[in-house]
Amino acid sequence: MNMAQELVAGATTAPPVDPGRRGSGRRRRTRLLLRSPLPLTAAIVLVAIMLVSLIAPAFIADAAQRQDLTQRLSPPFQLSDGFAFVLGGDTLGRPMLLQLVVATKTSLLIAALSVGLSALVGSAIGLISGYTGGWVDALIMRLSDIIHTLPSLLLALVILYVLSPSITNLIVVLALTRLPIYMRVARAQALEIRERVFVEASKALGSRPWRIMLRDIRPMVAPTVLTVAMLEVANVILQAAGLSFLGVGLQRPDVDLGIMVASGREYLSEAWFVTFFPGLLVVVIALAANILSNWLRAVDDPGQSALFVSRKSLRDEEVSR
Amino acid sequence: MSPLRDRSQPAPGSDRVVDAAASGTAPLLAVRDLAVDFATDRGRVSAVRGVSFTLQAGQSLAILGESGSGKSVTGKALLGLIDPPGRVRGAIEFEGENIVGWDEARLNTVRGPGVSMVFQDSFDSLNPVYSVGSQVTELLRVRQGLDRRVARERAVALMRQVGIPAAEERLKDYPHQFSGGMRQRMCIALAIALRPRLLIADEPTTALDVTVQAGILRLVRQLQRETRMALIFVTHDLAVARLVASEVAVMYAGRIVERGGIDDIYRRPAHPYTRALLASQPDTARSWSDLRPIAGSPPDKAGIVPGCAFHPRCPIATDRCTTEEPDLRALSADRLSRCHHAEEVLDAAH
Repeated sequence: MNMAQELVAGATTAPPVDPGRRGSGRRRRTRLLLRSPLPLTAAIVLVAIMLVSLIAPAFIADAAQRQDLTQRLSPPFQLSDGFAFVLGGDTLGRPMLLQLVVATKTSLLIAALSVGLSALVGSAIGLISGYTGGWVDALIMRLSDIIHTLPSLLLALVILYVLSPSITNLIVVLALTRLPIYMRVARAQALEIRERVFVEASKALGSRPWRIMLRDIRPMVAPTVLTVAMLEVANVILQAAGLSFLGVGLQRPDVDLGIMVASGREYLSEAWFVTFFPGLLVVVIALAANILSNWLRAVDDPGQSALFVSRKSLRDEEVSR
Repeated sequence: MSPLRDRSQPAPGSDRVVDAAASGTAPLLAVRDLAVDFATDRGRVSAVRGVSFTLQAGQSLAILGESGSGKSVTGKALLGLIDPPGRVRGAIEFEGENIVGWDEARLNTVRGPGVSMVFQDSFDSLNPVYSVGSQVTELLRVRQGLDRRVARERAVALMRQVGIPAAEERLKDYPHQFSGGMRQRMCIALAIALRPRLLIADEPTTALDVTVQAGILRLVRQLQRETRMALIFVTHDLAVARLVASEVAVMYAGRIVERGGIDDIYRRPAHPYTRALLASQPDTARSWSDLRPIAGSPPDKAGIVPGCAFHPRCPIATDRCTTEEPDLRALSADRLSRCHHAEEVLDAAH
């Protein structure tokens, strides 16, 4: 099953996933998405940004790093210097547009990998913790409390200061600071599901604990974890950008959106666009990811659906059934 | 404590009179002084307080009692399914080995091929995210090492055996596509898949439509006869118990209060609680005036009732009942009752 499929199949805590209706559930969501302008816009924007930033860097990586000092801080919206400089040139005369594309790719990559890593590890720990209970659970949860108590940005700052800042370290640190969220979500779900009769029935047939965790409980926890992970992408992009902005994240010549924002800081009065465009992109990506994940969550929750799903689209839905 | 249940006297628990009469061979299951309690905020709460019985291979026993009598807890204890804060004491000897205190790994060797269980809530006892077919085949592949194709054939055969029509096509269906009765049939198929020697059915028909009940009961009895497995049928309904079991143990407040052949007890109860239970059931009453609910409610398990646990609700309770706890004593070769006035009750039924 691919990730998107599992994601849309998952209600949050709502009734157990109905696997038999997975196909039709996905169709229903697609239909609802096409009728809800805001989430649809968010989805289109996100997909467009992802496609461009994943494909384009293969062709423009060199051009993006080429410095042309005559273009240093050249103003945006002028086509006279070629399309690459349509958003102006940065502090070293590199084309802003191409730099943005490469930076977005890095930012998305960092976000995806660290979210994936923390979701995987966090939910596994949470699952074990919730299912096992007892002192194992207590110990794991206190550890999670400790991580949670420390401000995550501060924790990341300290760790990255001690270790050398690199893309791998950045991903690991970001994953570590967001770990407790997945641990808690997975643990709460596991606590609930382990009391279900089918788990007891599985035990009564002699299933070993790891089998119960992996085969009986994991599939019911996965949708919730994926919804949380979706929401977390926006957070992590912001955090990564923040760390890079503070200088402990990525280091030049690597470039992500945070570094770009930081590099324009000293030129705010003369060249606003060097800070503005990467900043705007961070906001747009975070906003779109938030809207979309909130919508996904709301669609499956009857109590919330009115917020994100228009009444009309729900009504049409009833009729078409 | 009764001298008959005293641990210093090992084998001949008084309950075993019945079984000694039934067969001379070693029993499949021997439960002795089983006690289950749970640690709560109000202290230790006893759910089962000294239950002893034996069961021969192929025998069917109904455990009868109202909510809170400890009947379901007894059933779960037999599979080692009591988790902390629950605590199990006494002995549960399955095929001669005491399984009380075994760790999970060892219990798992018994669970499935030894003892298996059908639960009350058929709507939740199948995993909703897997097709019913894959649940049966996975069990067979993991536990019996069958390959995919053989496991599939065996799954279809099992589904046919429990009366699921068009089994082959329904293999790919998910639990939510099944009706309540069909789900319970699937649960039974899973429970008997490893050919257990003992099946525990915990009120398997309570959550079902009355029209479906009879079918499930017939299936359970038929399977029990075909496979020669022993059956413990936990229920609150004596009429239902009568359809599947030949023996009955009536439980009240965590103890067996009466035991004997099911038809005997149905006709001539020897304990006022059994009598009251019979009078409170719509199927045995001829009119509204015959239908009598049992006044009061079972004793709070945290509290201790002096004397006979049933005396506050008993119509024939005497002073003796309020102070002296009755023993489970033999009235005849195959009848036990825990009542000071058992003979009177028995005679009154004539």
